[in-house]
Amino acid sequence: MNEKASVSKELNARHKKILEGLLRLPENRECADCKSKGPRWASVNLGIFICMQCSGIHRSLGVHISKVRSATLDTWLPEQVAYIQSMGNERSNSFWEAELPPNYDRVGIENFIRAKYEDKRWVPRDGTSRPTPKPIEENHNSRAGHGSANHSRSSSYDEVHHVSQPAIRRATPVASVAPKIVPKVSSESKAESVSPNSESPKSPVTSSSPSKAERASQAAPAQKTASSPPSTASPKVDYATDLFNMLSMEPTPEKAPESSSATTSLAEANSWAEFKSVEVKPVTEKKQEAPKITQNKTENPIGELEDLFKASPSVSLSSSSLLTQQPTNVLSSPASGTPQLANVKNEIMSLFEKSNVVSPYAMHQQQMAYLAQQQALLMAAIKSGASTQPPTRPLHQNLNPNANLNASFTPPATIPAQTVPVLGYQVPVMVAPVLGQNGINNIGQMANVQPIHGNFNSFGTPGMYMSSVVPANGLSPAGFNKFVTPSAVASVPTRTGQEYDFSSLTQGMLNKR
Amino acid sequence: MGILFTRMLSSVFGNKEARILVLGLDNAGKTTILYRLQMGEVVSTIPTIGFNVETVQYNNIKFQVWDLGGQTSIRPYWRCYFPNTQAIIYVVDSSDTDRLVTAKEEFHAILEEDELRGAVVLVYANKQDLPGALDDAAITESLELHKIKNRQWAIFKTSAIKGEGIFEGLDWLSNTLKSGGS
Repeated sequence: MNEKASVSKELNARHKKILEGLLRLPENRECADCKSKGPRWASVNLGIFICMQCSGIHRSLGVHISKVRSATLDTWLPEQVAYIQSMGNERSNSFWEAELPPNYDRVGIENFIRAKYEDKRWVPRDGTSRPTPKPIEENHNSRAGHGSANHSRSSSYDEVHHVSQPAIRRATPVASVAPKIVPKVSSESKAESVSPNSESPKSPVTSSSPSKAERASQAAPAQKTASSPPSTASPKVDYATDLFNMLSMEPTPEKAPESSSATTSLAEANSWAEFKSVEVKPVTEKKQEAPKITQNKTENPIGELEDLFKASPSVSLSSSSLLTQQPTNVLSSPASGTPQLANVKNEIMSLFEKSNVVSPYAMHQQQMAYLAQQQALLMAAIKSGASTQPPTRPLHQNLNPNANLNASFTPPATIPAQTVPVLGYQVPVMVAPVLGQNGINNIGQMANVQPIHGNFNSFGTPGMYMSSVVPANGLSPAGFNKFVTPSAVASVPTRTGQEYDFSSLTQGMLNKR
Repeated sequence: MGILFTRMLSSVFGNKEARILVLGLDNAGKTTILYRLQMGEVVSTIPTIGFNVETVQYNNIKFQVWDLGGQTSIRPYWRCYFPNTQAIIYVVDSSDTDRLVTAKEEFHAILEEDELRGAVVLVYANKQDLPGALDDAAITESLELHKIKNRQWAIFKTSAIKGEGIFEGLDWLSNTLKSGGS
């Protein structure tokens, strides 16, 4: 039986969507070998996207080295799609170009490709024989097509970062970290890691899809919040994300899981029931936090946010930074969920006043945001600077809208009483999200980097990308340094900020320095 | 009818013409074979989206060789080129064992086409230079060539890169066509 015949039309259409989504990821927007833009071909066994020219060379290598398929013209098998989803250009190059000298001249691309894959000239010397694919979760695959590349990815990587935080902090010096720090955390250890602080980065994995969002729009507001970012897609999700996916799914059971693996995660969720019943509050917190973080990371919500902040008196620095961060995503956001946008918006608007009341909670939200964006060095630097001063009022106001979205959906009564005391020590840290998001972002803008770099900037794990970034993404060492080194952080306040009017906020930051 | 007339005419002048389709899965080596035939050298190719057509004069036969792209979604368009075809060159990547089943199915689908009823079939077990390439016997088995009825066929081990086997195949083809095999 022809394997391809077993790929039904529907499945093929789904694969197409997934591949389109993958091709929109910053890492896959350029050919894995020659860096030319807009690759439409792929090597299914290497798990990379390449341009047509390079695909010709790959074909000449033979199928024992590279199996070339067109992302648009060929029928893919499910396992091929799954593999390329778990790999991608960045991950693959972190292996195949691990030892590639920076600024290597790729003239004579055929020789380069042959040296790279045939002679394995630049594979890691540590004995790794294969690039390590990222564990993925099936139910995210189906939605990769809608994915907001930068943010969903950064979320999952932050996740990893968070779990392995101690190790990575110790490893701050640039490039001292091994190419593949892929902490595969068992669910048990995740359970322990679920502290109030640790929840934030996970939530983007809300199990909603556009269709589910419609269903959810008839549900309670809180649930709506959870499902309002339907485009949240995390093509690469690790186990840790899985956990929080479960957690955020459970409170809204009417969002039926789409795929089989979602079902399994539900089943797993059952096994977690005990844990959750013991710690109800963390769970509810998560439920509330989920939307906020997701909004930080999704396309549709960004569109919503844009509307919101046009209407709202206080301009949010963080949200507008999101806007600048991925304008293309805003444009390309799927039309799905538009019907309920208005509803959501109205609700948010009507609740804006309320949100001022719950500002302590908002602080908590911001801390979550901070965690979501956290970066070891940044945090260290920021903490030292920020902890000396309590946050300024303008800063707080500016950050509020984001958090308000969240708080607004949640009746104040459900806010755990615990939250406030916990917030006490979080307040100094609260400054972080601003610096974490915008500071990094500014650096990216100053360096005039492409979207892919913005993506890196929002990643939380310098260690993981250290080796792959430099050669693989054409990031100049200088640009990269701006991102990692403390001096880069220090340079943020010197930015004039003429592109946007955040004077109130930046002043606050500047004063602090 | 007109074709018959043309053929008779050309046979009178000792110069035959033949329209040949080069088919096969993507990355089988069709384009490389075409240009090996036409120019006698190895060209570096990119995937064929659409077709390449070249005229090759060999053994007093003027072959009009059509090389059609092999990607999954453009295979259905092969049938547009079927009418008036005297011969099919079916190219198989002998090292791509994973897809031999697919290759077989496409192959037999072609053979069932009405418009190709009279076409002779030449199979190239290509890429013999690559490690793990199956030989002609194994490819014959995989493609179930023995199931072919009422048609002349042959299989050759080829390496378009090294230039092995291709012209041997074309020899067979020209002899078969000359002897009025179709």
